[in-house]
Amino acid sequence: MKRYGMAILIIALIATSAFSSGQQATQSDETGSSEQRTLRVWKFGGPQHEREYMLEKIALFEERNPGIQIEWIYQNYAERRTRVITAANAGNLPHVILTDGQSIPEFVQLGIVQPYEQFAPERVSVWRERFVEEGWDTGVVDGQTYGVSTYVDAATMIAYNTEMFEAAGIVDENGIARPPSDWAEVLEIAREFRSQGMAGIALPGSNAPNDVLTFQGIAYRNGGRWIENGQAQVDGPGFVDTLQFYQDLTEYAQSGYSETNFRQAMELFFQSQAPMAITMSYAPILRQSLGAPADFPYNIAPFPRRATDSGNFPSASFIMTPTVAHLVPADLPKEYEDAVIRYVDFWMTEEAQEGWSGSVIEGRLPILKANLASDGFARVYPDMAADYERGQLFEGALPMPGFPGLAESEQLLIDAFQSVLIGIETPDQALGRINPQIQQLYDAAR
Amino acid sequence: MARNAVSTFEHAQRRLSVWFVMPGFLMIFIVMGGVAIYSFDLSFRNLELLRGFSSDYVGFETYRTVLSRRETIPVIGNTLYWVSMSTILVIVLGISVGYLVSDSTNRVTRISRAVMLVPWVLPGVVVAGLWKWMYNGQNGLINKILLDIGVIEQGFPFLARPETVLPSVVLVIVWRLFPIYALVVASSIQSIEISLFEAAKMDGISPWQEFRFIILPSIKYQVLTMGVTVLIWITNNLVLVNVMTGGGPLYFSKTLPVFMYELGFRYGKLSEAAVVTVFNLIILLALSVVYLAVYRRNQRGDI
Amino acid sequence: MGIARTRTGIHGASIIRGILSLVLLCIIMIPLFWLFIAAFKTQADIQMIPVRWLPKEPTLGAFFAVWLDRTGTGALWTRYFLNTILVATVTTTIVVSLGTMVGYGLARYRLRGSSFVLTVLLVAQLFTGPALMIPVYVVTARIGLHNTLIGLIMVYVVFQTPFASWLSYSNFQNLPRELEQAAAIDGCSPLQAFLKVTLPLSKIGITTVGLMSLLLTWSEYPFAVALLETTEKLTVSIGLARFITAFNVYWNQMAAASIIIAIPVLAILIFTQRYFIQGLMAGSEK
Repeated sequence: MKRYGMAILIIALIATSAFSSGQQATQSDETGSSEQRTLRVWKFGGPQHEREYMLEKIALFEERNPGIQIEWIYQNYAERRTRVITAANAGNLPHVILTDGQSIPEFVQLGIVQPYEQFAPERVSVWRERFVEEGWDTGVVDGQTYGVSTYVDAATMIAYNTEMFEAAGIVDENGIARPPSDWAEVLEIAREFRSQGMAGIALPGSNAPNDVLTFQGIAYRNGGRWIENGQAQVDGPGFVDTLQFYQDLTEYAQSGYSETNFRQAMELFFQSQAPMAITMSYAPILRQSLGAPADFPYNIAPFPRRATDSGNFPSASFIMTPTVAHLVPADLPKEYEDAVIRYVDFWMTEEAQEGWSGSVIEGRLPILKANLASDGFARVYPDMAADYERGQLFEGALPMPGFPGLAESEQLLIDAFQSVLIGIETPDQALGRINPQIQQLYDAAR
Repeated sequence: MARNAVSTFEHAQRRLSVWFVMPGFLMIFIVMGGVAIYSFDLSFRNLELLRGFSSDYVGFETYRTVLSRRETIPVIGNTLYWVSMSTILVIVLGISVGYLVSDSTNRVTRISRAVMLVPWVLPGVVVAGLWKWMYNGQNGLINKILLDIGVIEQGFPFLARPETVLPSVVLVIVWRLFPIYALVVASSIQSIEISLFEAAKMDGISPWQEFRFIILPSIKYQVLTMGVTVLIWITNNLVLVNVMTGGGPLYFSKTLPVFMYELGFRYGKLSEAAVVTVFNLIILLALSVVYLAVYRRNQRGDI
Repeated sequence: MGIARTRTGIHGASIIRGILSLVLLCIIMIPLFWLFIAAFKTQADIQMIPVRWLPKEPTLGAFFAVWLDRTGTGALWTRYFLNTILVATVTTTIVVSLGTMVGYGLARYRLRGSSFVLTVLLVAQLFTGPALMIPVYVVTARIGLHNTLIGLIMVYVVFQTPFASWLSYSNFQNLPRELEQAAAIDGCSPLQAFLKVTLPLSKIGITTVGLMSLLLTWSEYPFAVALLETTEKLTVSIGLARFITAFNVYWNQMAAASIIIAIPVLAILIFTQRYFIQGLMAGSEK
């Protein structure tokens, strides 16, 4: 009796799987006809409520375009580069890839993606009009548009608890909490709070790529660069002094900073365990997904600069990357082009992007002009909205560094970063050690 | 007549045996042999996903590249530490606990036995996630307990410190594996002839003598062979370390499987990953020598 | 087996045993308990500093979140679940059949090459982990088995058969041959003798092999994550890993999902644990 039950179960399962693969077969039959298209879209990373928002919009898109179905596939952000490259080699890339802007140069180098100018030149100029130039450029490589996004993430920011700051008397002339004015003050405030028995600052110092990205933001602000004029520059004072600053901060930071990633740092901050935190523009998203109260008393500002910038290059106000840059594979079949254009066209509208104004998703820095001028944006980032109105928001902002060989160079930087934070090397030693290796990687990739 | 039937039968059975062994054996031999050879081949190439699927033979160049990475030697050290410490702890704890719970008359030991398989049955990902959370310096349970009983005054980040990270992950795999080991030991102890104990009791030996001279010799084979199985599980474990620390901080908890995974799947350096695979295979081959020796003794020349 | 006996060479040690067992029970149970109650906590409770043992307001929210979410963090759990059941049952069926056949064939007769086969089986067991992940990944990507459940099943079958064969080899060795010879006198063919006499007698061994394979497949992670790519193909262990992402860490949902996943396995184990352990033990006997 038991054995029969088992056999039936197995047969049923095999039948189910056969059925489901049959279903897929019918789907692909449908896509073979001229009317029906199923677009496969890979989305790498992102918080859950943002993905929910995007799925709602996609439902709207499908409703309006009955001929197009979207097959939405979520993928692990950490594996985005190898996944795309493997799929490209195996010939099973999706029709649209949503990933970060930093990956684009590497994909371009490998011939995996194609510029929009190639198959939708007239749309590109229409879309471009709607965006802030600096934001649009985060998806441009050598003058060609490979990625179009709905927002950017910007590094580096400081989040500070306004209540604590006011209580400690760190205020402007109107008695309102203000961000620290330079590195020295950041250290001083951290020391002050530390002496009261709490973490002086929530410092993300894990081996997660995002943590070293926040570090890079400060380094760029200090006039540091990865590569300039074909020469690796991470052993210059821009990076070295910033890393030294981080190391100085660790003394007053939370214990276990080398296992605390950007999310956990904000977890501490939003539970009032630290008066300030090093973070990126996505801090408000973390407030949302961590479930902290909407009226949590805090503010975000660009991270303070060193009293005098020490790097060899101009200070970058911040560095930005689009993390839902829509990329289109180079081997996209001709018959899918129209559907892809319609799909991307949909996302380039104010209607599709409205949620990123701060009305649904807080903490993505919009690059659509309409969103930047919206009330939601003014509510989430009052200071930045004012800057935008004055036309200064994106002044001196750069795209996040992206170049062939980045993935491994980034790993080297993480290595140096952690090595210094846990006290094995000095910033000079660590960055001096990796600089020639980065140069080598860069040269090899060219 | 009957004897004749049996011999025909045996003849046919012999043929059947060959037919039975062949499909499984050939599959294992061809696929695993092929894959192993392929990974050697790969280690002499320069296959990198970032340059597509084409590659050239470069001799020992890739080996040189891997050996010149500054984490390689520490990683090998970590691996040896991880394998030896974990195995020893699992076996020592397993034998003691197995002895402890072999007594079926005690209700507490019976309850213990019922839950002892659970750590091993839980998916590795869950065990790793759970312990990563428990070890956390800010909101971890272990720190809460230590704080509550007053051992420490401030949360200690076990996984963030170079000196504690590896012992901490070792404890997790020990937690996962010693119970199943103990169950096998307990089961073996229970199958020892009761007359041995009775005779010993008459001689008035102490519990320790009983354990040392009666129990240990009787369960020697199970202890050894199950020990080797555990050793293989530990050597091949990727998930625990990868999920708990990703090999960090820096490379202080990176083992060969984690290193290989990182090179291959994060950076697409498949040939370098193959070199690490070869290092891992060398360690495994050394272990197989031990394994075979154990079995030869066990089987008295059966192999 | 299972004779209740006080091994009272251990004088009055029962109390000490009890206390030590209690300590042991705590060591095993506290983490499990922590996982279990996490499933009934809210996200805010999970992050709470200082840490609290019990949930502030127990809730089933995490369970609903797991099953209703479709965005891909824990998305499509029904799908993952079905995929896993499919992979696990097919793998187990094939592994048990192949393993039993190989084990029986080896145990019945010492043929020429037997020791070679046994050595291969032993060495092969060592290579079943991530040791061969990279080549398997490259090969499957090249021959088009990447991102298919069939490919995953094939990998599992190849990697689990050595242990299964070995275990059943040890188990069959403990079975006397006389019974089959008796069957031969009754006019059975070797195959009939195997099916009617030997198989029913080796239930424990076969159950152990099956359970081992089932458990290993059920929660296997490295190969699943290497071979599978798209959401509709994933298995539960990948779904579990996705609760720990950069932006969110849903300990409560992970706990809820692992409870759901553990239920079928634990249900099977409740009934078979004794045989399972006996089978493992017999497998390590000479």
